[in-house]
Amino acid sequence: MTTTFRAGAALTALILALVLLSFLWLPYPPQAMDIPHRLAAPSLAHPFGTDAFGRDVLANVLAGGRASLAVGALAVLLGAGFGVPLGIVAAISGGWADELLSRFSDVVFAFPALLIAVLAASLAGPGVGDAIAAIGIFNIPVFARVARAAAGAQWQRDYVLAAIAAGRGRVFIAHAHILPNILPPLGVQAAIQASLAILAESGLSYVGLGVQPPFPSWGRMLDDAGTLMTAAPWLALFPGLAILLTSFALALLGDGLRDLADPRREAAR
Amino acid sequence: MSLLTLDNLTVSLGGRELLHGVSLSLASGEALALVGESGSGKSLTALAIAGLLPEGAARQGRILFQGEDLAAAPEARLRSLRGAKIGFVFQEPMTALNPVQPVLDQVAEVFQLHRGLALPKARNHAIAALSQVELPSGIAAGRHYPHELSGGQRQRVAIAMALALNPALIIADEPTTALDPVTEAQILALLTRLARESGAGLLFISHNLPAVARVAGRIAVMARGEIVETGPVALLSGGAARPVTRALIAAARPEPPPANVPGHVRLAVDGVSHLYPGRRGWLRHGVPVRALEDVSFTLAAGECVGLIGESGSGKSTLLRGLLGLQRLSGGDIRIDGISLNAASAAEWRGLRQKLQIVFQDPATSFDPRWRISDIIAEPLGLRGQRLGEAAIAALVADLLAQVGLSPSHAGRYPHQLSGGQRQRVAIARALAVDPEILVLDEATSALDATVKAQILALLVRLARERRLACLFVTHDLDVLRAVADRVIVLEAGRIVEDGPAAQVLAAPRHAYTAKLIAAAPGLDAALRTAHA
Repeated sequence: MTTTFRAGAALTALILALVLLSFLWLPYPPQAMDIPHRLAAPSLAHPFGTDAFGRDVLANVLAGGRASLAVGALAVLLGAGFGVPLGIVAAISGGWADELLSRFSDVVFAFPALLIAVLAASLAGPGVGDAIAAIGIFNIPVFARVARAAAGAQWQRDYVLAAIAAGRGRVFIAHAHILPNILPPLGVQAAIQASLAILAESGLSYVGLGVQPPFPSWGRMLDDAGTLMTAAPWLALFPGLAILLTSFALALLGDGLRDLADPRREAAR
Repeated sequence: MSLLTLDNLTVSLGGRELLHGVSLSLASGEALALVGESGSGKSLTALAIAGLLPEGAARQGRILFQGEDLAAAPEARLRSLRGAKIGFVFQEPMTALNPVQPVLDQVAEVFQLHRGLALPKARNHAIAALSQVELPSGIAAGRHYPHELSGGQRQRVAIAMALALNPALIIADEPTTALDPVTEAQILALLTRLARESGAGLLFISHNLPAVARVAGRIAVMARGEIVETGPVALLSGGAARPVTRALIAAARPEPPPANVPGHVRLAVDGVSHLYPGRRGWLRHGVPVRALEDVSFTLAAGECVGLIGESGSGKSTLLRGLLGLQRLSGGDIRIDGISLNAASAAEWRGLRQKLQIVFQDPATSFDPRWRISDIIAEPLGLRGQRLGEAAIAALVADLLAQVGLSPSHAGRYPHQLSGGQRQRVAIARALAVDPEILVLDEATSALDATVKAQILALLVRLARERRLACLFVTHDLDVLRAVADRVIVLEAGRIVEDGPAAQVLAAPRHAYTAKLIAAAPGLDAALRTAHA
């Protein structure tokens, strides 16, 4: 257990707990307007201030975390769910399957994730589902490449030959030997991609293609705050801080996972 | 006057004392071998002399080099001594050289750093240094990168770097362990000659006694962080007092296996040939590479056969063919009369049960996330009947006992075991399905001499008791001396010699075999030639 891992895990757990708390308790209903108190600076009654409609910013940051974290988690699940099996298959079969996957990755990588999202949104209309799908699809080749490289290295090991000599088939070897041994680099990648997905969702919402009003998300809050930046800087500050902290927590977690996965860590201490 | 004196050197790391009061001395022009098993403290002693101990290590005692105490010297002083006055040659030349810099420039860098020469002048000196180590002149002058050189050539470059500035002391830490026997003999001769010509003191660290006998005039035997015995190298031919030394000598002097009557033929390799299609690109056709040509031999129950050949001789292709990982382009292999070419999927399961393999590297031949019990039990599915958990546990315990491990090892992970213990686990895994044929692919090359001797004794005993047919693929002649009833020599895909071990090893008929045996003469022959 390294300090990095502990700090990352603690911070991630805290953020998750706060977002889960939002389902049970919020200081105000996030959509409740209070025009007389619009654009109030942070105070005891409204610790993060209020927005142009008098809505409580703290309540919206907490509730907006639901969408942001959901997008991060689902986009990673989608990317890993398709990408990891593809990568392992490519590594084990080699030849044209491998070639096909690499070229597919190149094609997807040639388009920026945001562009794909804009494309998807313009085809199916904006919505949180499109944001998840677009970010998730972009994640598929990312995970496929990591899985392919890691599985390829494991496939060369003698224990795979030993398993073949023990009469095991490729499918068994892939899930019983290869997959557990490539989990550490995949975990690191998942943490990185989750933080990138949250940022990407913010970007999409910022241009109006992600989560739609009246539901809050961190990116949408930033979007709304744009014109009021000088009059009410807290409108941008708190959702921005939430994005920053979450990305930071996940990046720490990823770094910590990588350290934990290093087999030499016990010898080094 | 003594060139190097260690006076009661003690090193501890993380609160554990690893070297306990090591004292030794080395004179100019002398070659001293530091001998012992891995973990005995040989390399740590060398690192201490160089001031390269790992972070957090505490050191006591004195290290006198030309009258100066290195233990008290500041890091800047040590840095100017390393490379200039003290030259190092390490075990693995690939990792000791920078892969993205031409070797010529790496040798030139020594002159730039220590002599302050400009690059063109330094390169001229480097070319001279490289021709000293008998590298072909094309390599010495050309801009070759480490990956373009063979292992032996890389070690020559490392020696050229170590000796470039005529150091007074050369420390060579297992410099030939990663090399094949013929190259090893050449490198040892080169190192000895250069040290003798320059009048430097040579500290030679090794667990390979035949190599020690050829290089050193004096030996110091280490065990558990202490020097237990010092004396002339002739100590190795008799007169060693300490049990540690005697055990090392016994391990280096293999006893031939007990006489044996082979049973009926288990494995028949019949006229096997293989062509690799060659590397093909989008536009070019590959040139086919012939890996095996008309290879035929048999292996009978209870028989141990050694297969030797240098890298590229086709050994690996043959092994892949035996495992069914490579469809061979010609000929056939039969196991108990069943042809591998014609075997159905169902028959393959039976074949895998008959033939098991032990791999070379105990570090990669197990899934690091599996427990030893699961590793040993993995092939049990080949037995055809389902076993309950209790039956499997009992079987695993029995197998562990057969290979000399305790039942408590079952719950551990591979990284918690030593190299020798892991190789025992690999043997237990191979024996789990009660095979008829056991193939050992360089199975002892990653092990110490003493551990190797133990594993080989275990294998001979198991082979005799279970009437196993064993195929030892190796380039270590000591392995063949210890286990082989019969020796097959493979060169460039062809069998050039096949006969009883005693005959092939004593009176080889083929030039290649003779060259191999001359390169790895065994301890007694090495002692005789060194003192003649």
